[in-house]
Amino acid sequence: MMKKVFKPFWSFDVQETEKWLSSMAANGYHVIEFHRYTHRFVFEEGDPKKVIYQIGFDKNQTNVVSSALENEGWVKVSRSKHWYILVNKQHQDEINVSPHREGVIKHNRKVMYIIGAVSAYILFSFFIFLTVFVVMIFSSDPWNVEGSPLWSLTFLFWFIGFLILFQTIKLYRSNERLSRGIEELKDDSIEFSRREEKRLKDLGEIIVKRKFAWWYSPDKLEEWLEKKESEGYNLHRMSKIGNKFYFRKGPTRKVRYCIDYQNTVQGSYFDMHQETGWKLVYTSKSSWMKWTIWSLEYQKESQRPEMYTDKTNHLKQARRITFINVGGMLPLVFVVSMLFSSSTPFTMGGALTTSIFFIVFGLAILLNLYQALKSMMYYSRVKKSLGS
Amino acid sequence: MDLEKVLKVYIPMTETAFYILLSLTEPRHGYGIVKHVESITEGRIRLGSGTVYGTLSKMQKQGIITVYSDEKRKTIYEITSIGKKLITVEINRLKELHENALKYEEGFL
Repeated sequence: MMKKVFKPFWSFDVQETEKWLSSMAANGYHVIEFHRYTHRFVFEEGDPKKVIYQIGFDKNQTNVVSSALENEGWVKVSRSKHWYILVNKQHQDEINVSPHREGVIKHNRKVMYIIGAVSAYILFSFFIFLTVFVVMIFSSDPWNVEGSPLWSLTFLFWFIGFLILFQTIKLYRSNERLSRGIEELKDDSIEFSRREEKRLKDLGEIIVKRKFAWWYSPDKLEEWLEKKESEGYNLHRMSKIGNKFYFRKGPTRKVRYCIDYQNTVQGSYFDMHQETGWKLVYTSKSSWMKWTIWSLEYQKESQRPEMYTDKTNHLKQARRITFINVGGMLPLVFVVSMLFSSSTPFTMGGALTTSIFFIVFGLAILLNLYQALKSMMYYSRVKKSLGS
Repeated sequence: MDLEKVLKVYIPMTETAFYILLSLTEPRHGYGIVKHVESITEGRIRLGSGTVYGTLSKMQKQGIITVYSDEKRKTIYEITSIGKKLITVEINRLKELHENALKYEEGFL
């Protein structure tokens, strides 16, 4: 006996769907097939059993049940393009090895950004309308709303926008839950209470230095931090935004600082470096375009440790950093060139407005050009040091 | 990626790629790979964590290795059947080089 169930948006919270599949199995319905796009699950009726399901996402056409997983009791139930369902007859606590969550997290994150952008676009018009409406109510001018059946279309449009927004939030929450087991992002700095830190600052035990846009010349920042350590100023912590460096007077140390950039990170990124002894000093907030600062103390007699021991690899990393730094200014250049080519700013205001416009945007362009130049100089320095 | 494309990309292999794959006769943690390579090369090669992470990520995208989580949610890397074929081709290539090196070694002494 077959049973077909339609589960919309099943992929947005895989843990919930997994629990649902298990409860179906406990009632005697075992999933044998599923289709990702039509959101359809096909069940076969049988004996009620207690089983654990896990849903995964794999871009390659590899065999998703590796030998280690097989030994742990995982069996493939069904695969629909990149999505797959595995089942295990053991109890949750007895299962030591399980499929990796990062394929799902990465894919769902992409989906979340896309539908988040769509809902933002739709709700943008809603907020414009709301603002205009509120202004109109409070203004003294008479106003009226034109009745029209087309309003129903507009309301439907906005309703869909809110629906998509709720789905975006659901995706975000489920991804956070999935990541929590994987990303242990506590940095290794010692925690002082704000008061204790202020007291030490007044005593001159802790000093604060500001560095603006250090990511354009990461190697220079590394050298600066290492110099400070050798002078007896140990990096204690950084501000959340990453612009302030708090140093504590202490022993002179030999510490290697490494500034790393990744387009996206998986949980395994932090494991890899922390397991090999690197301490996490700072990491940028978003999981996308991630800047991380790592430190490793070493003995005075030893060689300066490297995070990138392979020359080609190292150069590729430097190239990636340079691209992202130079590419980051492109949107601004594009916007400004559009503004300059159109005549609107010049007709809208008087001579004063126009000249202010010129100055502000001119400075912004110059600043960006300077930073792009710094990035390219960074790249050539790395290239030279690698001797290639 | 299919085997042909993978062979084109990886043969001849860098020491880094070769030793990383060679470590995967059993599934390992990233740190386990670094330690294993250090021991079998008697300290000559100490892979940097950035290099290992970058190489493993690339290999994973190409389908040469696969990942899963252990009970502590740490990542474990395992070689796939394509990866096994790849390392075998490279080992045979190295065997040929080694045999010829031994054969003609004396000519340079």
